[in-house]
Amino acid sequence: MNVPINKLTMIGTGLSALLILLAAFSPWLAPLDPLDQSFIAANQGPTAEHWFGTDSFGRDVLSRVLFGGRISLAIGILAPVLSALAGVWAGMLAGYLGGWTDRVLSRASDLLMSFPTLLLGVMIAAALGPSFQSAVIAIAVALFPRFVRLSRSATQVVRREPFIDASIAAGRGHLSIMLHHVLPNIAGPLVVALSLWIATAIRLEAALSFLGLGAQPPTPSWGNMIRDGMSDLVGDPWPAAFAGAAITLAVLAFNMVGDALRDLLDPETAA
Amino acid sequence: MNAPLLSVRGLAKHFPIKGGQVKAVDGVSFEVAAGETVALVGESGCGKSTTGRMLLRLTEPSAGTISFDGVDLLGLGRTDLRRRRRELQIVFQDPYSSLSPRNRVEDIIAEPLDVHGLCASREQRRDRVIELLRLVGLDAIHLRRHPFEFSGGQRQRIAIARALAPQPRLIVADEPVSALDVSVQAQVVNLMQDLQEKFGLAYVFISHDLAVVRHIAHRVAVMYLGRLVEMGSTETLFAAPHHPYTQALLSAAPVADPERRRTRIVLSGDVPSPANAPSGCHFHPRCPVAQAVCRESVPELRDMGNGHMAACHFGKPFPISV
Repeated sequence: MNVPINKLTMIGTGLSALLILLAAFSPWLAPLDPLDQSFIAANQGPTAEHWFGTDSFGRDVLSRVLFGGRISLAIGILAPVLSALAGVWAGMLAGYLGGWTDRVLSRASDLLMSFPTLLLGVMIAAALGPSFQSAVIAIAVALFPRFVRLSRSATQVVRREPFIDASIAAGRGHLSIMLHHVLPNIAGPLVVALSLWIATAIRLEAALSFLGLGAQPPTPSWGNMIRDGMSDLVGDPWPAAFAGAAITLAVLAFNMVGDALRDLLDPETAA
Repeated sequence: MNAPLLSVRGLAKHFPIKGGQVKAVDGVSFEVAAGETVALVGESGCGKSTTGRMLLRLTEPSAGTISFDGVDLLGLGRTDLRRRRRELQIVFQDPYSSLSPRNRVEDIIAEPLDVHGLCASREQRRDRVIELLRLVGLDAIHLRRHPFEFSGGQRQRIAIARALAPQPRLIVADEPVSALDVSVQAQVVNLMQDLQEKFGLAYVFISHDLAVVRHIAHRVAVMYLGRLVEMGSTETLFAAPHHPYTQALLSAAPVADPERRRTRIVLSGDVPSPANAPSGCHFHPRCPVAQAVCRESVPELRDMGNGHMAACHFGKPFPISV
């Protein structure tokens, strides 16, 4: 198969992979312990010793950005993936079976959709108590209705295709049809949406951490680094700036990956 | 004749709509013998496709019975129905949407084999698919390709190969050539005839193309607004249609002979909506010979001689001047 490789695809995929690798290997890559405080070195700009400068506790910002990436990317990827696993099946069942299954699942996701995503995330994270797990659950639940809707409407389109009837005539059961015919044919838009919502989840995680509802200090995450940096944005903008830049890069990279995957998954554009 | 392979009695499909129901199919009865082609003809919306879908229970009938090889299809539970589906297959009109765009030809054709566990090994599966490809005039080189790499005619051949895979005894062909170029239509129709001869297949051939029907069908059933109005052997039906609707339908078919003069029976008005079908004989508002009785009572299909059935209160062969 000839895969078209354009520059954006390469950059996006490369950048995402790089960010994930940097985060994964941060214990070996980080120049310093991200929790080590040094009041003498506090609030420094970039230097030879601290490439990204230091925060108000004198902690190395580069090390904190690298370690923070573990938390931010782990939540940012894990939450939408969990959400997709549940939401895609719920949406397929609703769209394929219709009837009361559809009514129950659609009303439930409409109910969740009626809350702004961030507000819903904040409510759940606040109710569960701030932690890594509750941030994952909060973001997964907040994105769940979006996966249900997308998968439901895509399924409704595929459900009406004659090849589904052909498969029924071949004797296939409905669950097997969903797995073999519906899922592959709705996968394109879902994968694109997944990567977009990974980007959204990274932003949501940052927002939750910024509000103090994500990973708890002193553990760094990109969101709580911005929160810490906010207290002295004029005097020492570096922690917030680098954490913000990391979020921007990650969001951009995952958006580009989405486009690349869409092209790859469509045999017509791939050939 | 032996017991028919397929016997349909009083088959009906009523779709509920606001303030009533649409009687898409309203009491259709016919039989198909093994190895026979019965064509269902009629205008768009007359219920012929719905009838075809009901034969495979892709659409659940509202009433009636379908007996296939002596088994009541409508009485089957889910598991038994799935097992029975081997023997009844379908070919759809649109060869573009009837093949999953993500699958390769090999997997598309092998689907019925996989579902029914008909192949013991991958080699056996591949050999069988190649055999099927050759039967429909394609080749092993097409195995690993996707549907979008084929023309409409080739795709329809793939759809036919898939339908043949589980060795069915009856194939419902729902306008299988209407979406194809005329030059390709003949090839596909001839292919279907060859396969019928080779495997003793029965076809329910749904079409609005009278020329194609005349070529392939042994018997023809004409539908109008959800009911059968006439049924008979292709020869007699085309030569001496009894029902005024069939007569009008046949007189409207183009004839490839500019010298030949004939009377065209032009019907007034449009086909009424099946949601608000006329009383009595559905055809009476447009019928050139309608009488008072046609408004009041529904004509039953009656034998007009030699098994030629027509649902008309009068039902004399209406001479089409030639």
